Amino acid sequence: MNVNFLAAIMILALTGAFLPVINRLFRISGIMGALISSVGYVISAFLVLISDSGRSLLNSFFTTDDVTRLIGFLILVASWMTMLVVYWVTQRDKFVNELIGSLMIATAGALLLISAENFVSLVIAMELMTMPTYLMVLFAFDERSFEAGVKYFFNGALAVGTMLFGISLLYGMTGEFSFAALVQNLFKDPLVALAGVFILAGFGFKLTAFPFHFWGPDVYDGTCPGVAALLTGISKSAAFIALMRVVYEALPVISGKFAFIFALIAAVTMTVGNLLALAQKRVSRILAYSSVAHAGYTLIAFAALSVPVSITGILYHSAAYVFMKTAAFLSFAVFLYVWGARTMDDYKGLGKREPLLGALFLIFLFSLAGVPPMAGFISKVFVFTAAVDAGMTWLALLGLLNSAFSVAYYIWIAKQMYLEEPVIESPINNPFDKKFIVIPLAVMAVFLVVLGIWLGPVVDASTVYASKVGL
Amino acid sequence: MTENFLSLLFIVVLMLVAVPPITYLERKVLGHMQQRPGPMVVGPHGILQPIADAVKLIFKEDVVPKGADKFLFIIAPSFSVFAALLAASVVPIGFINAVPMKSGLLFVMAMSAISIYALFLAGYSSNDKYSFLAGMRAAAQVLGFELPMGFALMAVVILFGSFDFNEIIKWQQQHGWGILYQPIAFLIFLVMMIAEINRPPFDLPEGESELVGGFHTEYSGMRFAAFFFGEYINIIVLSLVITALFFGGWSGPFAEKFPILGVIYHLLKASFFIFLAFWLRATFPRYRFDQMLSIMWKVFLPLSILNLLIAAGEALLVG
Amino acid sequence: MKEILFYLFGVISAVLALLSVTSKNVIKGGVALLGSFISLGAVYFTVGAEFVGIIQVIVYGGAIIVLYLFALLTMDVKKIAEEKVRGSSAAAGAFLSILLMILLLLEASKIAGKVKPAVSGAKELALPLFFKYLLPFEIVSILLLVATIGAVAIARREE
Repeated sequence: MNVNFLAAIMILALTGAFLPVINRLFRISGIMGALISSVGYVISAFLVLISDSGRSLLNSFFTTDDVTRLIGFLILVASWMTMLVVYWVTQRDKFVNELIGSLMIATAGALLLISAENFVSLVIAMELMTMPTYLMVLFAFDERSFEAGVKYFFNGALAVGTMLFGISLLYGMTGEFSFAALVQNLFKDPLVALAGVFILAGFGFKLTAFPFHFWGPDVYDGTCPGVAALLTGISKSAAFIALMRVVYEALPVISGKFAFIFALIAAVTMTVGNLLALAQKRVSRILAYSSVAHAGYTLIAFAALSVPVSITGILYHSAAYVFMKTAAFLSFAVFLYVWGARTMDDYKGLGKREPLLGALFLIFLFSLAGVPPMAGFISKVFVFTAAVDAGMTWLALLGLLNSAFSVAYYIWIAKQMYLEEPVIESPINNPFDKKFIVIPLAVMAVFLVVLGIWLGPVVDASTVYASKVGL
Repeated sequence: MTENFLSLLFIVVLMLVAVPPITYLERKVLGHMQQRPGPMVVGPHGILQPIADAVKLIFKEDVVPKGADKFLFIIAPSFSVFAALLAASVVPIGFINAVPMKSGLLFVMAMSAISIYALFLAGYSSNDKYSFLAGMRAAAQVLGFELPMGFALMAVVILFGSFDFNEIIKWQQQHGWGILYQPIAFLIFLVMMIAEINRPPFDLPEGESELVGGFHTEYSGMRFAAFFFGEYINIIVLSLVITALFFGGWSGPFAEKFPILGVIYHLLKASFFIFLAFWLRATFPRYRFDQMLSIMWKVFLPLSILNLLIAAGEALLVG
Repeated sequence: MKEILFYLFGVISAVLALLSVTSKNVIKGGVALLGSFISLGAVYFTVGAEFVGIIQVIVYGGAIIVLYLFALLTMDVKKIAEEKVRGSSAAAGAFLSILLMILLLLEASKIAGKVKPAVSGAKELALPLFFKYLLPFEIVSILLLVATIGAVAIARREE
C-alpha cells in the first residue's frame, strides 16, 4: 500500500473519529465541524491524487493502483459533497458531528475496501465501511429509522457472518487468505467451492443482488436520505470494486463456468429492481429499487468477464454510479428537508418552485436512465458492449430493454415536477442559506457530465488493470 | 507426573482445610475490632466453633424453593467451588506447583471470570426477587471490575515479560519486589480483588441490609456452604496471587537453600492480605451500586490505562 | 490421550451449542452457550494453544456471556420463548444445514485423526499480529473506536 494513500485514509478516519471529541471539548458550532471535516477531505483527496509516488509498505494486504486512485478520488469527492448536504440537512441536531464523523470513517473504510488484496483486509475494510453506517441509519431516532436500523443491522450482521464463514472454511482448507487461494482450489475441493458460495452471498447482501435485495429498499426508505445516499452510492460502488478484484483474480479458472451464474443474477436483479420500482408511490423507494436495478447492470459486466471491455464497464459504472445515485438521494434529501416531499404527489410542481434544484435532480435522473451526455449513458454503453463481445447478446438486449423500461419512472418523476400544478403550499423549512446547498449538487452534476464526455481516465485505468490481470 | 499429582492433592486439601479456621479467625478479628469477644462458647475461646458450624450445615435440611429453576439452582454453587479450586491449582506455593502453566496468571483471571456465574445463576434460579437483584448486581459488578483488573495485570505483565508465576517471581528476585515498580497497579489490583471476592465495601451481591442475603437467600445446608467455600478459597488464591505479583512470592532469605522456607514465606505474606480483607470489612461501609460502577469505570479504568504507560517506560528502563 | 480429549471436548462443545439454540429458556440457552465456549477453550488446550484457550474463556465466558445474560434478564424473557417458527422455513433451513453438514463431514473425514499439538503461547500469537498483520490489526482498533462512538451517540440520544 502506498504511503500517501495510507496517510489519506488515516487523516480521513482520524478527523472523523476526533470530530465528536473536539465537539465535546470545545463546543464547536456545526459550521466549524463541517469546515474541519472539509479540510480533512481536501487533504486526503490531495494525498490520494499524489499516491502514485512515494514508497509502499505492507503490500500483501492492500494495493494502490490506478483503479484505487481513480475510484478513491471519486468516492472522496462524492463523500465530501454528501457530508456538506448531510450537514446542511441535520445542522440543528445536537449530534451532527457524530454523524459527519461516522460518514468520514465509513468513507475511509470504502477507500480501504477498493484497495483490499486479500480476504483479511477485505473483511476488515468492509466492516470499517459498514460499522459507522449502523449508527447513521439509526440516526433520525424515529419509528421508521428504528425499523430500518434494526433491519440493516441484522442483514449486515448476516452478510458479514456468511462471508466470515466462507473465509474461515477457505483458510481451514488451504491455510491462506489470498484471493488466489480461493481460485486455485475452487474446483478441486468441494468445501472451497462452498466457501466461494458463502463469500459471494456476503457480497450479494452488500450489493443488493437478487436473492439478497429485499432489505435494501426498506432500509434506504426508512433512514434519512443523506445516509441512504452513502449506502447506495458510495458503499455499493466500493463493494463492486472489491468484488471485481476477487473475481478477476479468478479469471483463468472461472471464466465461462461462472459467467452464466453472474448473467442469471444480473438479469433477475435488474428486472426485479425495475419492475418493483415502477410499482412504488414514494420517491425514495423508486430510487431504492432503481439502485437494485443498477446493481444488476453492473453484474452484466461481471458476466462478460472474459473480455477486457468488461473491466471498463465495471469501472465506468461504479464511477458514474457513485455520483448519480448519491446525488439523486441527496436531492431527495433537500426536497424532503425544505418541502417535506416524500411521495409522487408531493413532487407535483416542485420543479417550478425550485428551478435550480429541480434541474439538477433532472440531470441525475437522466443520468440514471442513461441519457447522453451524462456518465450514466457511457457506462451503460460499455457494459452492454462487453456483454455483446462476450457472446451474451441476449443479456445485452435484456439490459437495453430494462433501461428503456426504467426511463418510464424517471420520466414520471420529471413529469410530476414540471407538468403538474404545485400541491404543497409553503416550505416546512426555509433556511436563509438555501442557495449554498445547490453548490455541492452542482459539483456532482459537473462531475457526471465531465465523466460522460472525457473518457480518458477511466478507460486508461481499466486498460492498466486489464493488462495486470492478463486480459 | 506423580509430583504434580501430589502437589495438586496438597493444594486442594490445603484449600479445603484452611477454610474453617479462616472463618473462625474472621469472626474473632471482626469481634475484637468491634470491641466484642466474637465466638466464645464452643471450646476454649470458641475455637471449635467451625466444627459446630460444619455439623450444623451438613445436617440442615436442603431446600429447593418452589418455582426455582432446579437444574441451575443445583449447579450454581459448583461454579464457585470448582472455579476457585482450579485457579488454586496453577498458583505455585513455594516449590509446590501442581500445574506449571505458561499463562498461569491469565488462567487465574479466566477462572475468576467464570466464578461470577455462581452468583449470577444462583440469583436467577432462586425465583426470589432479592436474589434476582443480587444476581444482576453481580453481573454488573463483574463488568465493572474485570477491565481495571485486566489492565492492572497487563501493566505488571509488561514489566515482568511473562504470564508465568515462576518467571515473575524469579524476575523479582533479580530486580526487587513488584510493588516498588508498580504501586498503582498494586492498589488497583487490591481494590479489584476485594470487589471480585465480594467483600465489603464491595459486597453488593450480598448486601444483607438491602437484599436479605442476596444471591444465597434461598440456599441452605451444604449448597450454602459451597458458596462460602468458594468465596474463602478465592480469598486465599487471590492473596497468593497478589503476593506473587507484588511481594516476591516465595522469595526471601534462605529460600533458595531450604525450599520449605519458600512455602512458609509465601503463605505468611498471603495471610496478611487475608487479614486485610477482614480489616476492610470491619472498617468500610458498603458502596452504593451506582457509586461502585462510577468509581470502577471513571476512576480506576482510566488510571489503570495511564499506568500502562508507566509500565512501558519502566520495562524499557529495566529491561 | 490428547486426541481423545480433543474429540471429547469438541463433541461437548457442539452438543452444548445445539442445546443453546434449541433451549426454550433463554437463560438456560445462555448457560449452554457458556459451556460450549468453555469446552471450546478446552479444545484449544488439547492442541497446545493454551493462550488462545484461556483468552477464549475470559472473553467469551467472562465478558460476552455475562453481557448477554445481563441484557436478557432486563428484558421480558417469556416473550422471546414464545416465538413460532413457520414449517416451510424450518424445512428449508433443515435441508440446507443437513447438506452443509454432510459436506463438512465428508471433508473432515479426510483429515480426521491428525491432531498435531503445537505449543503456542502469547508470543506465538503476538508476533504475526504485530508484524505481518499489523495494518489490519490497527484498522480493527479504529473499528472498535467507531463502535464506541456509535454506542455513546445512541445512548446519549435518549436524554
